[in-house]
Amino acid sequence: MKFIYRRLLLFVPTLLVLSFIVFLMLEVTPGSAATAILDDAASDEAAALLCAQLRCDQPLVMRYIGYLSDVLRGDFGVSIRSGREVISELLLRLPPTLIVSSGAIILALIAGGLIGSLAAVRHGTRLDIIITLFTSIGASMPTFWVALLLVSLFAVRLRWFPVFGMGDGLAPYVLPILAVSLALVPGLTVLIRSTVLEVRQQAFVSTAFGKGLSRERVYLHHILRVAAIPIVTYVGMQAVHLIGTLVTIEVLFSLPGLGGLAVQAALDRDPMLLQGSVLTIAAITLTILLAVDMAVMLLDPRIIRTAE
Amino acid sequence: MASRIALRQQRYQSTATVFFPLPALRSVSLRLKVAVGLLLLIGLAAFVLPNLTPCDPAAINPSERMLPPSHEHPLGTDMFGRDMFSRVMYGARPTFEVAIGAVLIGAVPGVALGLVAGSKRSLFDQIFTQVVDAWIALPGVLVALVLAAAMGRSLFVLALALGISSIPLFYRVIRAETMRISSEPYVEAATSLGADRKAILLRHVFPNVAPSLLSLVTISIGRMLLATSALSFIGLGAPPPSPEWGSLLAEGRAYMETSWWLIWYPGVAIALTTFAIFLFGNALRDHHGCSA
Amino acid sequence: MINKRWLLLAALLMSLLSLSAAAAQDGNTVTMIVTRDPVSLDPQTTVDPGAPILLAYIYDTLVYQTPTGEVLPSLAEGWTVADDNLSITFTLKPGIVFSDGAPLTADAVVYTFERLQSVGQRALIYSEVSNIIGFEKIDDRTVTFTLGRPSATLLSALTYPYAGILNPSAVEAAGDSYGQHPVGTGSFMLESWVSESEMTFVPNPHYAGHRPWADPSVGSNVERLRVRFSTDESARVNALMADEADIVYLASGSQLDRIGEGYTVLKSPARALVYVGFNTGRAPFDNAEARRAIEQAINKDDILALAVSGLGEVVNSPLPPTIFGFDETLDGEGMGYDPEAAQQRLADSGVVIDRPLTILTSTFPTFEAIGVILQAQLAAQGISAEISVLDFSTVTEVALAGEYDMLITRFDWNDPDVLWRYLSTDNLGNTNRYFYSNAALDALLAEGRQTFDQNARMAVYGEAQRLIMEDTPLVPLYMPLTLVVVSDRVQNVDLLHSHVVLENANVQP
Repeated sequence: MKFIYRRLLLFVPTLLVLSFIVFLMLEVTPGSAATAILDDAASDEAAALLCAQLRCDQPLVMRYIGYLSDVLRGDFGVSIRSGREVISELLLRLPPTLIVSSGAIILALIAGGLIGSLAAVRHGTRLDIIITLFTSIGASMPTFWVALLLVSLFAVRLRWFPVFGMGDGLAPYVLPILAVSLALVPGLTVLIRSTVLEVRQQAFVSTAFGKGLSRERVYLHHILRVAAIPIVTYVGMQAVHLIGTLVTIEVLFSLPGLGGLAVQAALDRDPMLLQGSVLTIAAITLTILLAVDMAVMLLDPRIIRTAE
Repeated sequence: MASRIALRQQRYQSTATVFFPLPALRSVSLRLKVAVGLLLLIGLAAFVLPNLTPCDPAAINPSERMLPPSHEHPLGTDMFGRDMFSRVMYGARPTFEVAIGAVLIGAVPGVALGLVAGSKRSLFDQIFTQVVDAWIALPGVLVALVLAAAMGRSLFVLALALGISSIPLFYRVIRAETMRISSEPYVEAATSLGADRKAILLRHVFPNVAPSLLSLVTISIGRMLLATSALSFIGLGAPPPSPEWGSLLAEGRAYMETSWWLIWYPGVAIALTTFAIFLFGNALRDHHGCSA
Repeated sequence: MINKRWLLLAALLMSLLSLSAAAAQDGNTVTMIVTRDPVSLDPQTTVDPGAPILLAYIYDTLVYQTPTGEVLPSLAEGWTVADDNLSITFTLKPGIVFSDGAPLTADAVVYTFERLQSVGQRALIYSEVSNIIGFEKIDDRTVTFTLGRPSATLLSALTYPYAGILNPSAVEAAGDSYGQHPVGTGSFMLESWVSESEMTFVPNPHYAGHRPWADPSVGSNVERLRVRFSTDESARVNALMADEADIVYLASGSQLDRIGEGYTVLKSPARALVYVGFNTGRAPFDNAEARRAIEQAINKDDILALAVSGLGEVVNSPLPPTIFGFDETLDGEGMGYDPEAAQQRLADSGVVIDRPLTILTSTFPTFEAIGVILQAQLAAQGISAEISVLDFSTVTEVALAGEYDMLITRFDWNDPDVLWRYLSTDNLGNTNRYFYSNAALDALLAEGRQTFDQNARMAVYGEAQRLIMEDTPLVPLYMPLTLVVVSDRVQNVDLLHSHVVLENANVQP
């Protein structure tokens, strides 16, 4: 348990480092952010007002400390474009991102699990070869390209799902979830296939079969449980990749999520909003990584033992 | 603590490279042959064909807009009447430039830092591992977004953004490998005999890291290809009229419902090339016998 | 037991799939897709360039502008200008009521402009309105504005929705959240607003049929206007094709080939000009002959046809036909496309272009395409150029720093005073990003700002345009069109500037 606490504690400095990297990144952006959004006809007073808000006149370190202490108090500043608190914009955009990312992970686990197990069970047959071939091709295709084709087929031509990534119920999320999950499915399928194959060779599985348990029962209760460790690790490792894909997919589906917000904030040169959204997205990624670490430790106590 | 990290990173390394086995082609040498053959074919199309067929990929032709594939234009023409065949051919070069450039930008510092950090437990190692833990949470898309806003759109910015965000990957893998190799008896023996640390790194550790580095680099090039096209798609790609494949997709996107060839062929080019590279990296790994 | 689980899973998947896209076209609802959520419908503080399209449903202005640039009464019945041109008196139409039931009075007008002066620093018309130094309520329907200096440009500024008349009690009651609870005298009022997702408007029960561009005897059966957002043009048209929307805005011609039977394309010439500005502050374009040579080398018809699918009108004079001061004869005197003459002119000028030129432009739709065509046309002249595409604010910074040779951009304004804004010495380092300074032009542009007689004003701007055309600090390319596609489900829809007029619309439920 001590180890888990330490891991949790380490999360704080990691977040700090992250916030500084994000802050520095935006610092390299030339020019005064205050001139960014203001139109040709805007007055000097308006620019001065914005400048004060952004602490234009202070040195870098002071600005960072100021920003950090504001953030710690839950104040992410004000969006130049909307005039709203950045925190409220972030909260507004959080649900679609969470729905799509968690939906995609779940879908990818189900699909990858089913297909991968199927390939392992039918190891060496023609079905196995076809599945492996398809996953290899799938891993080589740009996700957003596949998403474009999905929209064209299922939304524009067949009209099964709305074109728009918003609206009533869960229907608008189906295509985005499907698209994002495609970033994970090929890798998971291959991983699950090889893990299941490996585990099947081991003694306790043969014992289970020997006890006369049904095939499905052995797979679900014995094999998949052991296979869960590399699978969870893989999902964690792919978290960054997943979030990157999510940004693209949100833009593609006009989803009002955090990724779309970050892209729009960058285009608008809305510094506080960009900072806030990049930081939030990165923090979500970090949290996924942390959660995965925790999950692996719970699944495999040996790791904690070696650590202590 | 260290062993925990080592364990995690070993797993990481294996999962990062595991996901592309092709049991259909069980023989490693056959896989290698197929991959090399495909890559040669692509290289031929990318670097030799454009020199043989001197048709300008940027030449606009108002009277030949949006022509479907035909004898004269095997891949059709785009909204400016430009020949898609020559655009896709010419597009290979900038596409590879970005992918390879990004891997170099990521691999050189990543490997150097990983070697240093992995060979000796030090304050540097602890601090940098912390930084990398944070760094890894920054998706390349976001880095590109910020950099493009600052430096404008160019192939270099694309490569830089993707490279910067892949430093942690190289760092982690190489650090874990270095730690593993450093604890081998012969390296420990060399250390106890008082050999220079630098010499040990270069003579003993690096050569042993090289094989896994090679397959990691190869697979990274494939991933960069995919990432580049995604960035181009959200408007961060090469400035026009570059025929970089991702830009071709981004341009053709608006017309995809009426002119399918604008989006099919560049997409197929990306997928095929990535496939060949992945296959190559996969076969390379198995060839060196470090199967996951 | 296992079988049950599989069944459950299958059922779950099926239920997800069956949540298909039942288009939400209930009753007499019209769905429109615009680019972005305007965030605020407070006309005085909103910064979204797309906001005016929606503001116009809620607010009325004292005066409005016809498609040909004429200023006519709207909420005001009429107005009189004092002889010294230093005051203007508006008389309001009788019987006008805000959507919350409060009557429109002169107090509301005074309140509106006083508030604009205190909070509207970001409004496009701020500088014009800050020239008003006094407001005087004569009676409930009459109000007089006193001006600091004579201004011939005030009236056209007042036609923008930013000058929409507010209801003082509604503004005070809503406080900081007024932008989300707007109240006006327009034909619609805001019903609900889910941020970044959708807005709905319903007809204003108190609307008295006073909008001069609509026919009050026809009316409309639209019961609800639903507004959704997408910055992606193909997604907007996809939604239209899937019957998820009835009205969508287009930004380029790229989607036009998809629009066939069952849809109407509305076009309205924009009060805007797309042009190429030169950096006159450095070689080679500090030389007027070099600039003129480039103008001759540019094939505007090709640019229009390829980059915007022909959606616009080639213009040769600095003012497009939609802005007062446009002169057809002047427009006919353009240089015209003549690549050989261009080559000769460049050679005669003695200017040698020995480095790749920088074509600077922003991510605005179609600009990138224009850059590509322009680059190809220059290449035909043996001139190499690089295209640099940056976001709008960076373009402004880079241009002000002088790090470009040619700038592809556009202006949007409703008064010839726009020439002063972009080409006068007064605006160097601000909105004049061409390093262009011409004393003769400055004098003319200053005169135009204070000339009230329409014929005299026309003459002044005619002269100014002639000067600009001779010196060529910019090459006018074309006047863009505002494009809207409407499903045939909705009839009698009109386009006034960029605003979709629904006062007479008829929708099939």
